[in-house]
Order: sequence, then structure tokens, then C-alpha cells
Amino acid sequence: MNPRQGKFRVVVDEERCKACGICIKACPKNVFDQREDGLAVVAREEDCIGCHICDRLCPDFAITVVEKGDKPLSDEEVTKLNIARNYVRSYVPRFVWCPGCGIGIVFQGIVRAVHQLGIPKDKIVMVSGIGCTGRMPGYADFNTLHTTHGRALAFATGIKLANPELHVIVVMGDGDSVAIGGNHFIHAARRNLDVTAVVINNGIYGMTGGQVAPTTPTGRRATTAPYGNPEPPFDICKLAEGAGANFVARLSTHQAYMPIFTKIIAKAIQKEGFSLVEVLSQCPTYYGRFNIVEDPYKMLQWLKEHTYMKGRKPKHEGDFVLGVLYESDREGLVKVLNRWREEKINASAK
Amino acid sequence: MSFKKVTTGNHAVSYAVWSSRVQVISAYPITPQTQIVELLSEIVAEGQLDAIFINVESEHSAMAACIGAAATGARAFTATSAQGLALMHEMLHWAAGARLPIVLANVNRAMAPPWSVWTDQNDALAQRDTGWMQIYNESNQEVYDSVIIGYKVAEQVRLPFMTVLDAFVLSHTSEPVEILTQEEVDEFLPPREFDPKFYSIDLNDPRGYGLLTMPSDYYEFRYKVQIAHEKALEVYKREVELFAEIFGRKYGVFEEFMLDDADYVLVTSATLTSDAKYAVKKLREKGIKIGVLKMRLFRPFPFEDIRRVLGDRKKVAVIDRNIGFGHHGIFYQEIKSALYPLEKRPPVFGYIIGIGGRDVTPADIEDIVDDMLKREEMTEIIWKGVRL
Ligand SMILES: Cc1ncc(C[n+]2csc(CCOP(=O)(O)OP(=O)(O)O)c2C)c(N)n1
Repeated sequence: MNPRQGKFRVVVDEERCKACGICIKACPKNVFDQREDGLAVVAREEDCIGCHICDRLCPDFAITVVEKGDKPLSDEEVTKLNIARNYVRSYVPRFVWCPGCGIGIVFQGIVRAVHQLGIPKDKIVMVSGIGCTGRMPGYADFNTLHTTHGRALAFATGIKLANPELHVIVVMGDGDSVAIGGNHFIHAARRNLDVTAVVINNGIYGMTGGQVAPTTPTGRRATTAPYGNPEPPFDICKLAEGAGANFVARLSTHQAYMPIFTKIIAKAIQKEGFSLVEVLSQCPTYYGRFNIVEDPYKMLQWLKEHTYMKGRKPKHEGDFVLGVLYESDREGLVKVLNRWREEKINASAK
Repeated sequence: MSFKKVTTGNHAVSYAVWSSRVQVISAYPITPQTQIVELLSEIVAEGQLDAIFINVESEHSAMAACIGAAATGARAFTATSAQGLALMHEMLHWAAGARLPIVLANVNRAMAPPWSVWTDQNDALAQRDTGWMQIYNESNQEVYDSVIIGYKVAEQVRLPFMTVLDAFVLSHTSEPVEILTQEEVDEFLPPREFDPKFYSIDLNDPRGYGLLTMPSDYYEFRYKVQIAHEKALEVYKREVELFAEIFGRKYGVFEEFMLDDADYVLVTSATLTSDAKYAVKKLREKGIKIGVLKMRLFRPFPFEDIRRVLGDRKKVAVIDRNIGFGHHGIFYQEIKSALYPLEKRPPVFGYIIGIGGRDVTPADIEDIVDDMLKREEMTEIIWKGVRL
């Protein structure tokens, strides 16, 4: 028997679970059963080894795993200990995303990174454009701004330069960031604007129902590419690097339970200048169903199979490299502007 | 033979684009329009329509691509809604100024913020002065026919044409629509032919388009757009008559419902007209002599016809699903200004309703009529049902 077994409390919040089945399939110790209506139930809590695969991969923040203390805790008490849940506005009953959508997984990664860094909620501004990803600021208990499709970085530019004290995290879909908002994206990188851009790349326009995007890999299908996409996709990371970003990393949602996931997001938040974290993510409803599989867990497995860490070898052509892909220490825009003001304007005024 | 198909307003647009033998389609997805171009991309991919389908990175580019295509003489189409239409705004001016007969279907959706996907007319009406013709629809059949008529008129007067349908109430709701056969449509709207005489890019006769003009010339360009609009009104009237002759469906610049002997008139547009018609039938039973004037053609605006039909009524109520901020409902402004030159004119009352897709019912319309009957003079905007 694993010595860690029997030491954990595992609670599934029925109100939030959307029956995507990820936890049930991902748990290495088979702790969960599936109820008739699809919801996950904790069937063998004593087998849990506290690996946190289930709660970190849960897009709905529905699972809490904590070490047992001296005194027995009720399910409600356990749920109260869920760190990620403390970053969700209290009036949000559950997320609108489809069951098994990767956006909730990335959301959890972001709030856990903020928690690790110990930044007060009020010092964070989360900005989004429009799309499924764009719903995140409706849920996050930060200062938030839900803006127009493609323009999140332009709004963020105003926020950061008007109040440089704030940490600005911009969450965007792939369409938001590099289709309609592509121009803002390259210019934010070029200027080295001090914000953290998290691009959730599901290879498709999710919110409008699965149309082809500039990130859809060649040959992949979408409602507006019924025979597959004839065009080549963007490499978002290379785009950011080429345009001048200070920090460029790519993650995949299947990694969400690994410490590296939050660590890289945290690093991006701390980094001066423009930092980009692209997270490859599953859209089971459209991209998955049209191209790979509809099952969210199998999509995660597909992501695992088709990605590799920097320094390793890809298994197939077209696999995606993960990790911190580029870093430099160019001065961020806020410092540049301050220095400029000091050196040029104030000096000439004297 | 034409056949009936139960279809949504969105797909009625797609079928009409297919029927019109459009050659270039360029679009960016946006709710509630997306289904229009999704079906078109299938029709094109299956080889049923010999067209190029261009997936672009924004609505601004979609209209730009249509402009490029139309400038080479191709029949071009795009569809959008709300934010997408607003983003196209610069290109809308361009399409009209460059005198290109592009057809655009706009599914009326409320503008953000706050975000909404439901219907109102501010998105399309904000494009009023771009030089586009505009038509508003009450049924999916009107939607289908408007695209075909749109190309026919647009290509003669060389102005772009926007057909407008309500989000969800039409876009996502199925109704029986008569779909014409290709031969039937071809008879009314022949396939587009390359016409190097005009604005077409012709390699044998290279010209420059859109160049800088001095104040000595620019003025006349604008004058000509206005003259084209004035001509478009006649061309539209002629074409809908021809359409009626061939297909039996008669459209005017507006529709008159129970107006012959009406003392009171409700001026409406788009789908809330159906509620108004229903209410008017009931009010007639009570002995109130009332009818409906449903606006269809908004640009060019049919001033003369409005004066003729509304001039000697007792009272007119204009129902707007839009608001011209700082002024009044937009149809209200236009109707009132049309009546101004008349010596004797009815008082006109302006009601705002259904903004952001709030439901409009026949009972609401009856309330409006009650209210109008009591009023003597127009004093304020009346916001029907607003929560204060
Ligand atoms: C100007 C404008 N055009 C189009 C839309 C419609 N629209 C909303 S979300 C979206 C795409 C979403 O895809 P992506 O950015 O990849 O985000 P996801 O939904 O996949 O998270 C589109 C086209 C809009 N809101 N505004």
C-alpha cells in the first residue's frame, strides 16, 4: 500500500461539477465513480494519494483535495479550503464553459500562480476580449475588464500606463489575440508593454461555434473549413518572440497538475516587459469533435501525446514544443517611458 | 419550379446568395450571423456555388476583400452583426464612395457595452450616412427576396445594399420560404458579367482608384452618391414591380396594412410589425380606425411616399427599436422630417421599445395605441416599459 493512502479528504461539489469525466479517468487510484447523470462522486476516498491530478485538471473548480487534519471536516469545510475557489466571485454559481473545456483549467492555473506570488487581488487587473476565454473576467475576483473582440491588449495598454502599480493579466483566445487582435498583439510585444498575456489556444473560434482560425493547423476541420483548413497556422510563440516580447512560454492544459504549470505562469506575471504564455487547450465541443475526439480526457491525452518539452525530441511531425521558449531582459515600456521623461523632458524643462 | 422550404432567416440569406450566383464571399464569424456564412462555406466547398470563400481575420478585412473583389467586377457578399458592422464602418464608407454594388446581410444585434446578442437596430442605423442602401425585413421570405432584389438594384445604381434582419426572431427562427430555382432567379437577376466600362479593374485599361482628390473635385463625388440614391428609389420601385410580375410577391418601399380608411397609423419596422398587425386587428374590432405602415426601404428614404400616405391622418405613432442618443428614435426623426413640408400634418408620437431584445408583445402595442389616443401633443420620448 502507498504510504500516502488514507491521508486525504476528497470532495466533489455537485453544484459545480459538469460531468466532463476528466477526474474519473485521470485519477491513478480510481477514487471516483460516475453517477448515472454523469457527475463524479467520491467512491474510494481512502485510496487517494493526494497527487492533485483531479482538482488541477477540473475545469469547474469542483474538486477539493486536502490533507486530513486532527479534526474531521465536513464536506463544506473541505470545500472552503479550496484555494482556487477563493478567487471566484461569490455570486458565480458555475462556469458557462462546456463540460471539459480547457479554459477553466487555465483559469485555475492563473489564480494559483497569483496565490503563490501572494499578490493581493486588488492589485491585479484581468482584461479579456471576447470569446469563451473572454468570460473569465466575469468570474475572477480581481479588478476585471471584459472588452471587445481583439482589443484586450489595447485596453490593457491604457490601464498599465495610467497605473503602473497594477499587475495586468490579459487573457485571450487565439482568435482574439492573433486574428482580429493580431495588430495589438505584435505592437504590445514590440513595445515590451509590462503585461502578462495568456493566450488560450484551442485552434478554433470557440464562442461562435467552431469556425476556422489563423491557428487552426493545416488540414484541420472547422465549420467554415468543411474539407479542412488549406492555410498554414500562426506559431504564436514565434510571433511574440519576433515582435519583441521579453518572455515567451508554451504550456498545455494536460500539464496543469504539474508544478511547472503554475510556476511558468507566475514567472510570466513577475517578469518585466511583455510576457506571453500560450496554453494549448482542448475545445472538445468543436475542435475535438471535428478533428480528434469529443471526450475531454482523450483530448488531454492527445495533447500529451503531441507535445514535448523543449530539449526533447518530438514524436510526430507537427508536435508542439513546450516550456519557456525565449527570454530576454529588455527594459519594459513603463521604465523606458519614465527614463525618457527624466532624461528628455524634465531635463529640458530645467 | 420553385419550392417551399422551412428555413431560418440566416439560411434564407445563404440560399439567396446561392441563388444570386455570388462569386466572392468573405466573412468573419459573429453571433447571430455566423450560420449564414457557415452554410455558404459548405455550399461553396461542395461545389454547388462557383465562388471563392475567403476566411479573413476581421470584419474590416471582410469588407475590404469584398471591395477588392467587387472592383474587379465580381458579385461579392458578406454578412455580419453589431460589433462586426461597427468595425466595418470605415470600409462601408469606402464601398459606397467607390460605388461598388456589394450586398451585406446584417443581423440586428444590440451594441456593447454591456454585451448583448439580442436584437435592436442601433448597429445598422448607425451606418445610416455611409451611403449604403438599407432595407428592413419582417419575414424570412422578405429576407430571401431582398438579397436578390438588392443585387438587381445595386448593380444598376452602383451603390452597396444592406439587408437587415432581427437577431433570433428571424435569424434563428424557421418559417416556410419559397426558394426560387436558378432559372427563375437568372431571369430576374442574370449572372454578373464583366463590365470594363465602369469601375472594374481591367488590365487592358489600367486606371487608378481611390486616389487623393482636391477640394475642387471631391464635392462632386459626394453629390453623385446622393444622385445615385435618388435614382435608386426609382430603380427599386421598378424592380419590385418586375419581381411581383414574375414571382407574385409584391413589395413596396413600405407595406401598408389596414391603412385605407385609417385615422391613426402605427409606423413600425422589422419583426415587431407582426405584433402591431395582430394588435391592430383587435383594435379594429373595437372600432378604432387604425393601421400599420411598415418601413422597408430606409435608404434611400421614400419622402414623397411617406407624405402621401401619412399626410392627412389624425395621429401617427412611430415605434422605434433603436434610439438616436440625444435626439429621438431614429425612424421617428425621419418620419417627422418627411412630414414637415406639409402645410397640414398629423402630430407624430415617438415610442421606444424592445431595445436589447426585450420582448415586444401585441399587448405592448395596444398600450402604445391607448397612450397615443390620449395625447394631444408630442412632448417627450416615450420609453415603453422602461424600469426606472
Ligand atoms: C468585432 C467582432 N467580430 C466578431 C465577434 C464575434 N466573436 C465573438 S468571440 C469570437 C471568436 C472566439 O474565438 P477565440 O478568440 O479563439 O476564443 P475562444 O472562444 O475560442 O476562447 C468571435 C468571432 C465579435 N464579438 N466582435
